[in-house]
This record gives sequence, C-alpha cells and structure tokens, in this order.
Amino acid sequence: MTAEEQKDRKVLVIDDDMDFIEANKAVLEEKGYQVAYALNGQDGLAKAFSDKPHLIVLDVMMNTVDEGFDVARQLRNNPDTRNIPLIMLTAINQKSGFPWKYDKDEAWLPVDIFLEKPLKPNELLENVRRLL
Amino acid sequence: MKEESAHPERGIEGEEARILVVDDEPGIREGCRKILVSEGYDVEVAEDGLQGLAVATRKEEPFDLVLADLKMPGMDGVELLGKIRGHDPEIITIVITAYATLETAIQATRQGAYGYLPKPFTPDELLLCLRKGLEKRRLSLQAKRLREERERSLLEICSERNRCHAIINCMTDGLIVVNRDEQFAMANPAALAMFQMPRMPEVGTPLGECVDNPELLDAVRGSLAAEDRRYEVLSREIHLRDDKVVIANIAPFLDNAGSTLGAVVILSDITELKQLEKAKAAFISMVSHELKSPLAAIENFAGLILAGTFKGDKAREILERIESRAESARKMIDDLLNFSALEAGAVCRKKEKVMLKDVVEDVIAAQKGLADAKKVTLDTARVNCDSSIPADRDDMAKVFNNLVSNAIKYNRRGGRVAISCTDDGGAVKIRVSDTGVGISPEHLEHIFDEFYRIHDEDTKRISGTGLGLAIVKKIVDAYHGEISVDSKIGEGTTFTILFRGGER
Repeated sequence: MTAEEQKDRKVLVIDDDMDFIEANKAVLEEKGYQVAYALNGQDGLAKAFSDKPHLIVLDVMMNTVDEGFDVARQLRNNPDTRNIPLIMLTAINQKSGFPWKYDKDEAWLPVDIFLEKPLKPNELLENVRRLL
Repeated sequence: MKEESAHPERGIEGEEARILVVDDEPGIREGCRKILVSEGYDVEVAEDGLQGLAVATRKEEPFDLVLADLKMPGMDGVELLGKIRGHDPEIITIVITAYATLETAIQATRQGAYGYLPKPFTPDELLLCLRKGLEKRRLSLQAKRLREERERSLLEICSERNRCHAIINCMTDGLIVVNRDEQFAMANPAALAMFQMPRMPEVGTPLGECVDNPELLDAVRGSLAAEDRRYEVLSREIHLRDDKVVIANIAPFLDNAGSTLGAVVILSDITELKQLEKAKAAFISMVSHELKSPLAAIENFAGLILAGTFKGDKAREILERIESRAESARKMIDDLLNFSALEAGAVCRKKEKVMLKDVVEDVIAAQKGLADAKKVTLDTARVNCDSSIPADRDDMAKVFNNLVSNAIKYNRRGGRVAISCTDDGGAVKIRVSDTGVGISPEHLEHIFDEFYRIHDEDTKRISGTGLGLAIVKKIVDAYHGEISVDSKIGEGTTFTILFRGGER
C-alpha cells in the first residue's frame, strides 16, 4: 500500500505515555495515516466518538491498572464505535505469563488484537494493515 | 527390695531407720541403745512419757519406730504411743513390759501398738521384733505412696482432659473429626463458625448434612479414599461463604494396625495471606509496568532514529527524550529501593536536631534549576528560623525535595511555590503550596498511593515515578506526623505536615 492509499485512514492512539504516542505517531504518519491521540481513557472515548477513527490503539494500564478495559467495554457498548477495530496494548502479562489478571473478564473482552510493549514499528504496521 | 533384705538394719527408703526408746529404767534404755547402735540404727532415748512425746513429735527427722515401756511415771506407755500414732499414723510402736500378760498385750495392740516385747528380752528377740516392725513400716509407707500416686494421677487425668478440651475449644484454627464413613465425630467452635453451623451436629450425622461446602466434602472424601496414607496429609484450599479462604489439612486417623478409622481436619484461615499475595502480584505488575514504560519508549525512539524516521533536529530532540526517560527509569529504581526500605522498616535513622531552615536552603539550591526553567519563584519568607525537629536530616531532605519538586513540576509557567515552617511551641507545621492546576477530588484520595500518577494534557510531559508522595507519607508516618493535602482546581495545591511534640 502506498502512502496515498492511507490518506483518509484515521488512527486514534490512547496511551498515558506521551513518548510512546510520539514514536508510534511518527511510524504511522510516515506511512500516511492520520493520527490523533489521547493521554487518558476519558479523552480517548471523547475523541473516539467525535473523530470516528478507523482504528484504535489502546493501552490497558493508564490512571488505573485496567482503565483500558473500561474504555474497550464502553466502545463496544456504543453503536457508533462498536465496529471500530481495536488493538490493545499491555506492558506485561501476555508473554511473561505473570500470574496476575487485571480483570476476570479479560478473556471475554471484545478486542481484536493484543500486543505487548515495546512495539516494533513493523509489528504495529502489520497489525494495523490487517485490521483496516 | 533385695538390697533391703540383705541389709535389714538399713531401714526405710534407703535411710538408716530411726528408733526412739522410751523407758524410765536406765539399764533397759542404755542396753537397747547399745544393741541397736551396734546394728547400725539411728537411736534416740527418752526417760519418760512426756520427754518421749516431745522427742517423737519434733518436726525434723521423724522416727520410724518407737519402743516404749508400759509402766512409766507421768504418762504411761499406752497413752504415749497413742499420742505418737496420732501424730504419725504410719509409725510403728512396740510396747516393752515387765508385767507381760496376755491382757496387757491385747490392750496395747488393740490400741494400735504393732507388738510387745516382754522383759527380760534377749538382743535377738529385740532385733527380731524390731525388724518385723520396720518391714511393716516399709510396706505401709510404700502403700501410702502408691495410694497418693494413684490419686494424683487420677486428678491429673481429669484436669488433662479438661485442659485438652479447653485448648481445642480455644483454638483459632477449626477442627473437625469424621469417621471413615464420613460421619461427624467432633468439631470445635472455630470450625462451626467457619462453616456457619448454628449448633454442634449430633455425633454420627453424615458430614454432608452438617457442612454445606462441596470443596470440604470432596477433600475429606479424597483423604478417606486414598490408600496407604500413613504419612500423608492432604492440603486443600477451601472457599467459605463469607469470601474467606481456609486451608484444610486433612490427616488420616489410623488404628495400630494402620487401617483408617477416620480423618482429622484442621482448618486455618489464610484469607489475609491470600490478600497479601494478591497485593504483591499487583505491586510487581505495577513496578514492571512503570519500569517497562520508559524502556519501551527508549527502545522505540532509538529504533526510529536508526531507521531514519527521526532526522536532524527532530532526532536530537528525541535523543534528549531518551536521555530523560533513562534518567527517570534510574530514579524510579532509586525511589523503589528507598520505598521498599521504608516499607520494610529497615531504615537506619540518625536522629539529630535538624534545623528546618538549613534543610530548606539545601532543597532550594537543588531545585533552583528546575524552578528557573519554568520561571517559578521559590518563596521561603515564612520559614521560621528557630524551627527544628529531632529527625534524620536525609529524611527531612527527602520530604522537602519531593514536595518542592512536585510543586514546581505541576506549577504553571511563571508560578510561585511558597514554603513555610512555623513552630507554635508544641507542634511544627510545614507547608508547601503551589499555584498549579490543582488536583481534582477523585485523584486527591489516591495521591499518596504508590505509583499513582495523573495523566492528562497538563501533565503529559512531566516525568516522575509515582513514588514521591508515597515516600513522603511513609517518612511522615515514621515520625508519627500527619500529612494532609488541600487543592483547588485552577488555583493550586497545598501540602501540610504536622509534627507534634513529644513523640516525633
């Protein structure tokens, strides 16, 4: 896909780490995506409803250990945002197998892809392409 | 026994037998004494009844046997021996009489004398009579000891039983005993409370009817069903209705032949342990997250510079971010070590009289660069020169450094940080106020939690570990101080610490 083809594709990144946002924004913008961001769940939800992004990248652990799960649930419960593909990011737990669950409903969460930080540029781009 | 018969003169309980001779005739008195002493006995003599009684009833060194003349001036032999026996019922008394008649002999023995010795008597007759008497004394003392022992052990058994009962009933661990058919045998009150049983079930009731807990029933069944479980204790976590968790240790109850009679279940409440485990896991996940975030950012940025995504001035700016994230990861580790030392109470404090003015001066010097960069004024006009507290200087420096650096970082550009220390004689009050964005009530209640940080547009570029205020709180707590926070959105935040006199 060329940069031109991605021109109208909007990605919303919700993460409390400004540096993470900046790095991934650069990666996505280099490929022609439009990137919006939010630093907490509340702003993220507001931007998801107003901007109608084509895809959302969402961190789990922000102000609280499972803020991302709340956001994911609310996105899925709203008809306007229900069908937006969702990539969820965790800093721990997936690969390490550390026996700590954020949420007993984790397995039921309507998330398309779980990825673990740090995220390689290619890994992010591949998954974004897969969902769009 | 053998030893005693081999040395008949050795009397009672391995000691020399003690013998008292009471006779008003010096010949008999001394004659007896000589014979008995030569046989190895411990002998005393008395001249008449009154003296005899006084010697016989002395507290120290009781006599085993008394020989007394029947006819004596004052108190006669029968009366004397009666009184001595009243004093010591096990003592052996023998009557010596020159007027030996069947009648007097009968009278004396009827009144409790062991025997009589008619005058004149040969040394052998004396010794024979004496040995018989001492043997009787030995046997009756032994009988008395056995009787006492039996009574004592009966008492002990009774009190032992009560004690066991009391101990089992007082145990905070629950105890349930079942037979091999899973029928209830006994339980203590702690077990009844754990399973919310209103009363003690009847012996023989199926356990399933007493306890409504499938996990316990399953575990008991498993323990009873297992083969050769002589050394096996089955442990199982059991969840109770009131969200408590107990660990059930189930041991088989075996007879001498090794076959199962039933099972003993000990239930220990591990709810707190479980909560601690959870808190520990949460803490580790927090720490890993907080440490991974800066490292992930550094990795990302470095990768993008290498890939050429960031070039020129932008790349330089990103390198500065990398440097700052690395620094924050390093500071986080410092804070973590600090925090965990405080948490473990493993901090070695050197208490001295700390002049707060000096501490504030040092902190101002350390934070000046940060303040200047944000054009924040540091106001120390209200730092009372005389305020001092007994404390470790490093602790006070950490408190001020954390509060002041927060007050600068979360301030607006060109804002003001006011530091004040006042001493009203009884208490020292420390205040750090800023003119920043303020903290909303929902965040305010978590502000002293470890790793709690507020993430929004206002704070997105502020680096921190989320441990600063938790460390401040821990230090203030260690000095029995109080810390409070007051904040108005858009106006600023004030932290107040109070160290009262005496305990600090």
